[in-house]
Amino acid sequence: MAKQKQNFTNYYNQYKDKIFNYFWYRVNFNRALAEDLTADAFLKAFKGFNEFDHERSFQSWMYAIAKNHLLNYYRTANRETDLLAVEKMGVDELKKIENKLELEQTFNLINQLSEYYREVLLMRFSDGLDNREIAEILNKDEGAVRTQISRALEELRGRAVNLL
Amino acid sequence: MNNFEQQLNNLPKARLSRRADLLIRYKLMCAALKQNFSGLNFNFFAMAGLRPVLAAVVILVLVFSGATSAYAYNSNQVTRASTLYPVKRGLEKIESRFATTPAAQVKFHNKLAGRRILEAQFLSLGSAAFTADQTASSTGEAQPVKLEYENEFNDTLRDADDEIEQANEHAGEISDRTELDRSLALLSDAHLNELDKIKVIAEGIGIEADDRTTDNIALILENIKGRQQRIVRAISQFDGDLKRAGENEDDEDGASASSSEKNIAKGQSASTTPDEAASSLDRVRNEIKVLESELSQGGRISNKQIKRLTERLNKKINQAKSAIETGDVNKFNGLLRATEALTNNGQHFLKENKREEKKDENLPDNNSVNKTKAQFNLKELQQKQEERRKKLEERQKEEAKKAAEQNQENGTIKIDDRTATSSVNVLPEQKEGNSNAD
Repeated sequence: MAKQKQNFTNYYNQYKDKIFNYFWYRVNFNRALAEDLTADAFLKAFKGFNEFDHERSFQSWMYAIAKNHLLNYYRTANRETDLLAVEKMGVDELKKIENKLELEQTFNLINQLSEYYREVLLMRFSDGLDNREIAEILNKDEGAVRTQISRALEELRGRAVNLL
Repeated sequence: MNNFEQQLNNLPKARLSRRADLLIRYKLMCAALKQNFSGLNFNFFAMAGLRPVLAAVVILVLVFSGATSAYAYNSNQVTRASTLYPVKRGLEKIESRFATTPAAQVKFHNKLAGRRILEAQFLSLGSAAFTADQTASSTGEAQPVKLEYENEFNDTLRDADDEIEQANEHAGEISDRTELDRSLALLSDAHLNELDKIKVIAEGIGIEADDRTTDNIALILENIKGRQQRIVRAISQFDGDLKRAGENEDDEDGASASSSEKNIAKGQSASTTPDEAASSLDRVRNEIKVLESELSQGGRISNKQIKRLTERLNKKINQAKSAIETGDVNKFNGLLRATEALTNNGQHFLKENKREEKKDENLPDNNSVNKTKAQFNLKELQQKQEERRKKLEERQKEEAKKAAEQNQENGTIKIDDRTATSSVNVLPEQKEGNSNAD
């Protein structure tokens, strides 16, 4: 069944927090920067909305735009994903979280993973995407994503056991 | 393990702040606007060859629509016979919505009345040329002159009468004494001007015009005179000089008792019983005789014109007589009213010109229309109006002086005839008419 064509505003209302969250996790929890990147990503999406195939998932399309925009940002700013700095840069945000110590520990463990494992885990747990959606965004097979997530979790657990 | 996955599932979920949300929405809105306009610009500039044409068309449309409306609204040449007339009336309707108080309504309808009369004047100008050509080919028998825009002319005159009536009605709604005083003065001045202009129209059209046209002109003259009487009476009441007003009222009653003017001015129906009808007819016959003898004196008006007028009046009397004999009271009343109006205002259709009179002696009836055409041009009308206006202004100044003196006293004002116990400052024309009738 063909998906009903939606207004861009409806899509924006539906995905604005998810996209912001996506950037927030990937720019060291810098809220202002994440907001700017979110705005830029939605503006890009709006400009290309006429070419968007409504038979496809808007979420996948939007995440693909966000991902490309983030990569451009990294390239321009000569930055890399540095979740190691989370304890310093995101300390204010994290203090508001009830079980911050456990989370800090979790972040430390995630940061020790390879970039690819970090990405799929964040998508799965921080962005709340399912395997199919992650597969669409990363342009991978759903089974492969499931395997990658499983391996990433296994490695994370191993590191956690070693830490304990 | 469960605890570990639970920790991952409990990773914090940040939400976009309200401020950032609004900012993004604003950026999206700007982008949407830009996108729409950029599309328009693209199409517009893509047609570079058509750009000057498009620009010219847009400018022409804007200029033409604005200028046309302004022309239609202001020009007296835009009449019922014009295609732009609906535009004019439409703009007037819009304007009427801004006149919210009775005083403003008086002013507004007064303005429209003046405008309708000017339109009628313009229509009568065009008519003279048409009728002259038309009657020139006739067989020599005197025929009523048909106006080119006869229907439009008569409808415009009726519109003018309606506007004058509305202005008077709204004056009766004014409760503020100062405003009422001002409005009555305005109406009084306006009525004098209107009378003057309609007399000029009557003179231009002449007695050769057909019955319907002359009747209409005569009736509107009578109506305005009647209204003017009521206004003057109201002003007198306003001044509070009831004692003097009472005396003048007696005088007026004596003067108007022998004339039919009072009945016509009030719009009252004439008598309906056979005796009263016969009496009315006798009275009007006498008035016609008086008018005929008066016009004959001095020899300033051609006998042909006088004869034409009296023939028409007598014809109306006969028609009225036939109507009452057949029991058609309404027709009788209408004919009697029209006859009285024409009797009282017949002299306005005649031309006082000795040179013309001499020529008239040797010329057929149709050529008199050609002379009408030659004489009746706007410049002459304006000159005549200017002269009359000066006289009117002098008269109004005198009245204003009197009014200013009397305004110091308090008094009640009523326009309605029924309440009028004061005098009627009859217009000079009416005074003359009354004295002649006596």
